[in-house]
Amino acid sequence: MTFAGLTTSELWTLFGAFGGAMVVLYILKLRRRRIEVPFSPLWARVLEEKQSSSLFRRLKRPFSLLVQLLIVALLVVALGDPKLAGMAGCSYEPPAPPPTRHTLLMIDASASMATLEGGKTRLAKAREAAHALVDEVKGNPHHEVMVVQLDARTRPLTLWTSDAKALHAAIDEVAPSGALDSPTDVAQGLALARSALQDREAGELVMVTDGAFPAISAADKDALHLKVIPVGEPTANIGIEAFNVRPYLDDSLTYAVFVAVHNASDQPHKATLFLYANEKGRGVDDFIDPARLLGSYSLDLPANGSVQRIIDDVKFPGSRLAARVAIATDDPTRDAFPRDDVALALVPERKKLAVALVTEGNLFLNATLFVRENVALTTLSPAEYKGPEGFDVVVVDGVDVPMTAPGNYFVIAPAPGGPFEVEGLVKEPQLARLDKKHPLARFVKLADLNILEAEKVKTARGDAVVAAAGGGVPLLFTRDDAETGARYVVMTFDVRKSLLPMSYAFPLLMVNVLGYFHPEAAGLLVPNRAGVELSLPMALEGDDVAVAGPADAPTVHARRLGGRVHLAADRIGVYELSTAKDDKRQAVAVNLMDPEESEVSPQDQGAEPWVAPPPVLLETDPWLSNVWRLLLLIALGVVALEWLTWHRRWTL
Amino acid sequence: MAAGAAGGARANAKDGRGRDSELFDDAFMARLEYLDIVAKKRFAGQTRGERRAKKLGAGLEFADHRSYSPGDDFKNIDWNVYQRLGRLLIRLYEEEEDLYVYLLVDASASMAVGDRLKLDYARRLAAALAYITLSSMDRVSVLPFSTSLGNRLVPARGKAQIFRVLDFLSAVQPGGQTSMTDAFKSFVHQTKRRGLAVVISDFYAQDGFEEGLNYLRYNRFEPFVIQLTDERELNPDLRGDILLVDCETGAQKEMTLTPRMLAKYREAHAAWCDELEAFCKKRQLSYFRTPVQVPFDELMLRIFRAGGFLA
Repeated sequence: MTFAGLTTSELWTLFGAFGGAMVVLYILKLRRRRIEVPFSPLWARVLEEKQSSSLFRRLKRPFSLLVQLLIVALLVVALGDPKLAGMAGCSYEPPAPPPTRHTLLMIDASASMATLEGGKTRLAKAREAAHALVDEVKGNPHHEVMVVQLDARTRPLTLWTSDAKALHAAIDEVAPSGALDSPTDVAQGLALARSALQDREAGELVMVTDGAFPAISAADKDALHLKVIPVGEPTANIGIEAFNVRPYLDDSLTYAVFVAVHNASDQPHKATLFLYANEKGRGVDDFIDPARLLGSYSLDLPANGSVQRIIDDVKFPGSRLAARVAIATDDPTRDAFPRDDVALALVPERKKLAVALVTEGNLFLNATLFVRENVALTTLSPAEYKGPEGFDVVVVDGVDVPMTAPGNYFVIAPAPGGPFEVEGLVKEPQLARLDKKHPLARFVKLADLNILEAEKVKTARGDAVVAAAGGGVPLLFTRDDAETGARYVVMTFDVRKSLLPMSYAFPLLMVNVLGYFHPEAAGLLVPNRAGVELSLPMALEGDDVAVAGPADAPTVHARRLGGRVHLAADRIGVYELSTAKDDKRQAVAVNLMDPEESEVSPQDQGAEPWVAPPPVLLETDPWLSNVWRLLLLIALGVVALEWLTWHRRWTL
Repeated sequence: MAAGAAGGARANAKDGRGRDSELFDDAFMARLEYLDIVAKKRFAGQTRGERRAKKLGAGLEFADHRSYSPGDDFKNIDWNVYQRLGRLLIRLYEEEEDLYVYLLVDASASMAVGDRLKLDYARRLAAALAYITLSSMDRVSVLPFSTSLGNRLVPARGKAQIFRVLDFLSAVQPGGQTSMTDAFKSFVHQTKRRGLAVVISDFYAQDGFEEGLNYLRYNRFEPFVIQLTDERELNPDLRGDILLVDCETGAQKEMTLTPRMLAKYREAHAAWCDELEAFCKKRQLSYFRTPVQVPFDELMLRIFRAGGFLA
């Protein structure tokens, strides 16, 4: 006899412990109740008759203890799981189990799964299909399943398991608050599948999806034994696939809005584009309000095509803009996927710059600055000028005023005696070198200026020469004085002694100068997509970054690493970052804008449909193959016998 | 009138005699009066003194003749017989004496097991018998016994002596083993006047009852056996593992009681009682057995109906 459970020594220990306890309890049981009787000889007669009846009667008290020890022995041996090779049925060797089948159940939770069909979202249908799959395989203990949520950040929700209860629970945990606003990163999903199925026998990838993602390669399908349980029906959808806002280059307070709207249906549709602004809005619902409407624009959308539209001269308060597209009310077609109908944009807030023009009189400069919408111009004579306080930029036009106070100075034809050392004049200098990468030279072509004369200003170490004439004579350079905190842009010639005011370059140069001192005024948009890991420059101080998002968005965690902050948001909206050290807030707009997701009509990925495996009939284990069962039965029988005889006072 | 006397005496006894006022309360005294009346009605017109001691002496009623022996009084010689037969015979006359009733009350520990129910019952019964005896102008003596014979109440006569009897019975304390042989041997040796020996006991005697009763018989006492039993002893509410302790000897026996053993015990008890009854019947002794749960006056009526006590 061998023991497959506990070892022999462990069994002896157990028997010693329980048997000893049984004996102690038995002795304790023998402490009898003291009863006083008037005449014991009468009882003696009874006892004499009883005790002298048979040997068994004399032995039945220790016999009772032996029976109980026998019960303990049977239970202890049963714990050892004994195997008797010679006993009928006990030499049963179960057949080798069938190869374990591994099914990686990938449930699409991307934005397109929020499509409503028949009162249910595709995600709800996908969950039902996944539950049905688990129910079909749960009868086979050799079929293991792993549940994976597929979206922009593919994540496994279980380990490999055949526990149907855990699998059902995991399926219910797939995007519990509804499909995310993120696209499907199918490449990431396939990479996870390759890793999970590697070296797994009979492995397969089952995707429950509407197929709204790029086509999977045939090699991947074969390698992963891809099966698809399709969900969704062909339906109409329009959505914004691109949305961008940018300020005009002349730094005015108006914006140009670029919108691309896609029609993912077989019929052309008329649609309306709405623009909303809400300087404190975070969620979509915060913007979609008639009171916040900026304008509406009609669109004619071709079948299965896109329309791009640029909307000029859009003015709005604050920095947060939303676009929504909707099928025209006179069109009976219903948009089944509303999540891609909205896009958000966050633009740098622009403000008017306070500019002081200190001059004896310069019509060109005055006119150029005056017409700028974002410039509040103050023209001062040198006597009136008190300093740079209260001005964003001070334009010093050939006059001698103090320029050592901290501030931004655009110095034109610097007068001798100032912070710049003038070594003389250069007659008719010709532009010999232009640093086109410098911000001051953006969109500017300084050609044919016909400069009559320019001052020969001696540049210092650290000065950045943007434009220079032959011989290295600087025509336009910048200087940052770290000691005084003053920043300078110096143009060494009087504009009135050149043709610069007559060229297109002049207003652009002025814009560039102002933008050089205030670069935020020239911000451009970078779209952020939901579901993906974002790495953004962090303008706030402090490491503990808190994120406040839309009301319907789950909690988003952000982590600062150096000068950047990393976060991922699954819902579209505006997310505000804040830190304990900084009173300011930094906003981040997150959008869907994924053409693949907007193609909500199920896409055939060309994979085989999933077919439930035939039920596995396990060979039943002969009942007697486990001796412990037999021992337990015997112990139970002895307990019953002991109970029966004890209550009938046979074994007393 | 007797009840009134009893009540007044009882009030006096309360003051200083230490009589058991719960055992011998007013209701008990009223029952004694009732029993006395019933006894008189029952035996009216019957000949008294059937059980009188037949002592030959200076009585008026001729009883028998016997041969003359030297030293006999000449006046008792029957000269008429001498004239006819030529033999000297002495006339014998029956001398009448008072009846002596000895109440032998078992005061062993077995009588006080539990709540002293048997001892109380025995004392009440003894008091009732004493009252009836005293009202018949006979003499009564009370003798508690256990291992040996205890202090006795010397024979008293007259109804007024009932209070002495009650006081004496109140002072009886239980204890010791039952040994009828030793106790009755002492009794017959110490008692010259023969009479009715009423034995009130549970007869739980370690040495048996036969020898003790025979002592009485052989010494011309007339035993009157009253066996007291307790229903609770017959049907003990016991089960399981117990340690039985004899209240008199302290002997211990371990046993596990089962319904079957209890039945055996009842059988053994019945056999014990039957042995006693058979012993008494065989020797024509009056025998009464009663559970203490039966009121003592009912037992008295049974005794009256059966006859043989005083009538």
